[in-house]
Amino acid sequence: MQLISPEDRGKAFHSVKKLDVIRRQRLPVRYHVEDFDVHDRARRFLEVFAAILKHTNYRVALDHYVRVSAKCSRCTVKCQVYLATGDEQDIPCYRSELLLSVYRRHFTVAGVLRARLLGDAGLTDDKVQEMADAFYNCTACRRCHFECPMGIDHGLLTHLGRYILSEIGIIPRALAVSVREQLTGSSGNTSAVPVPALLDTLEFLSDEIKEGLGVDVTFPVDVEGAEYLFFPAVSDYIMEADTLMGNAAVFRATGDAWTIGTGYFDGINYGLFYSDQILEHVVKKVHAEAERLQVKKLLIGECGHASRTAKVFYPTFCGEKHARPVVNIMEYTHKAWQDGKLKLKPNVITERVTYHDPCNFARSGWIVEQPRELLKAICSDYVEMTPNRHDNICCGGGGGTVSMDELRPYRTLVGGKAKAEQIRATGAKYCVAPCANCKKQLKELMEDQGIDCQIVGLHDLVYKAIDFESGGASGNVD
Amino acid sequence: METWIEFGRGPLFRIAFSLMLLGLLRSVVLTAIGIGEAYRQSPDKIVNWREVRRQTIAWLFPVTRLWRQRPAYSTFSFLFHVGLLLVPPFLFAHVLLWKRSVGFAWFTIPQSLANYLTVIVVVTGMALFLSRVLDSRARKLSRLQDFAWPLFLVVPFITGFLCTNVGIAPKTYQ
Repeated sequence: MQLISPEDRGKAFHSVKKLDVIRRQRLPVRYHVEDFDVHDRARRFLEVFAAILKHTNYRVALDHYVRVSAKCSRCTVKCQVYLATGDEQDIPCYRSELLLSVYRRHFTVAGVLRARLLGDAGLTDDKVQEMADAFYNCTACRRCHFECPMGIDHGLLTHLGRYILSEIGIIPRALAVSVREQLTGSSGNTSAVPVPALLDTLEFLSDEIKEGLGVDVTFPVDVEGAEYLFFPAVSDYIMEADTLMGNAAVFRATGDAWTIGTGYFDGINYGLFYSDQILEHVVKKVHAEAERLQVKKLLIGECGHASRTAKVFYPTFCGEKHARPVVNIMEYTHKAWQDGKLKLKPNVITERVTYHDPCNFARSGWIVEQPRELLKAICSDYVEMTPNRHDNICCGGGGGTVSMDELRPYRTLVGGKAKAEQIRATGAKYCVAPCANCKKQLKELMEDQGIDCQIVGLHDLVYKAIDFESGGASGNVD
Repeated sequence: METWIEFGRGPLFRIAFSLMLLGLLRSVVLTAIGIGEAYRQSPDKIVNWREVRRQTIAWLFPVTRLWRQRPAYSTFSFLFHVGLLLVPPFLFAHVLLWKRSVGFAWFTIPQSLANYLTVIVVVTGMALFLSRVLDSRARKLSRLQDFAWPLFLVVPFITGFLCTNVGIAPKTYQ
């Protein structure tokens, strides 16, 4: 891949922040940050680091990483940011070393002794600033993890670095504001959607389906004891009507009992991007709603990070082996189709279609083949982008960066450059991206890079192919 | 000279051997304690042992994982480590030393194979060093010890090779 042009570099790294804010906060990063205590940042960084090491399990990973890190630079071939900029500070191992060197210096016996002997002053404010910049250039997609011969998870270190920074007040404003509304606001969700607006939207979507498919499809609300409690990314209620209509239409065909809870209906969990504490609080909100409605399973919509946080951390914080099963809507639809509960019309989509693997689904090998099988069943011209599956390239908006509008030029010219080239090479008319974050990023990417490809969710296309006449447990066609 | 060699074969060898064992043991113990502590502290005791086993075996034989990108570097690195791990403990002369010093022995590899592996270690070790020096990405990342390690490791292989192939050694002690 070619490096970005000097013109694009100028646009991507141009900061929209006011100079007086940068001076006041003493933080030359491109994302907005709410005002915070700027004094003694290095000392406070170390205090937070020490507290996190005491109360979490990061130490065992850090101990291992500082011991084995070989600085071989293999990760460079995998990082879409480094491939676009060619800048030393974008090498995953370089970024990780920023944090590992702090750990080695301040939290290992060898580091402390070495500093005493050689007179190393330790962490400086400049280095805190460098970390604040570097950890939000990374999309935490974890693709570099596969290339590291020592198995270092650079995404984990990005997460830990952001976690420590967040505890001293360095949090991107877009994430902080959303999370504040989610945890303490009146709406209780990241997009500040009030319940009456939600109900209006659901009614509108039902009408749309009736008009489009001619079938009565309802969005059940607050049904106690339902099999599935549905949590899409709440932004889907505002921006992704077609995906939600597809989700509801699938349930109409299968006849399974599902519900949306008005007490809490947001799958988004920005804690995954910058704070384990936030992550736990949000997961517990999901759990409280599941307890209130006494549902059997959690069903997460088309959103990668929402699904991963629920799948991985719901058992951690809410009951371990006794926790409710967490299912993603793509798994559900695929199983229903395999079991014959959902019939799909073949070759309904005749335009060329490709599939983008969201990192949070594919990197761990969790959901890889299911959407492909569904797409091959309904599309006559399905093509893969290269590379794909667990090795797929990040959309460029991962790790919460897509929520930061001030980073759009960076995301679409640097972070998303490799992805844009991938999609362009397929010549596809539709790119299926079953993730709210990926969708927003890819739509902006297609616009900024001038690619004629429509970004859709999986259920946007499934919606067009459901055969209510020859199948479906409750196929009551008007 | 003879006294020095005897000192090297005897007490110095035992000290070096003990240090190696203690160092390895330290790593194993610290890792075990770290994992145990993490497990005790974790609210979630679910461990996917199947995945742990699969990953461990996969990384013991990294052929499929590391060959996709930068194949030359991967091949050199792999061959370097094969020689590095096989020659010192299984060379006939070393095993003889170990039997004399610590009282027990194990199987050995043929001398010709040891010679080939030694040459491979030296060549690939130098290649790894040069690639680190010449590749701007690796050079920027590397600390002093990252440059020094391949050279340090190659030196005993060169001296050992000269010892066992006295015909090409520039100097013999007798």
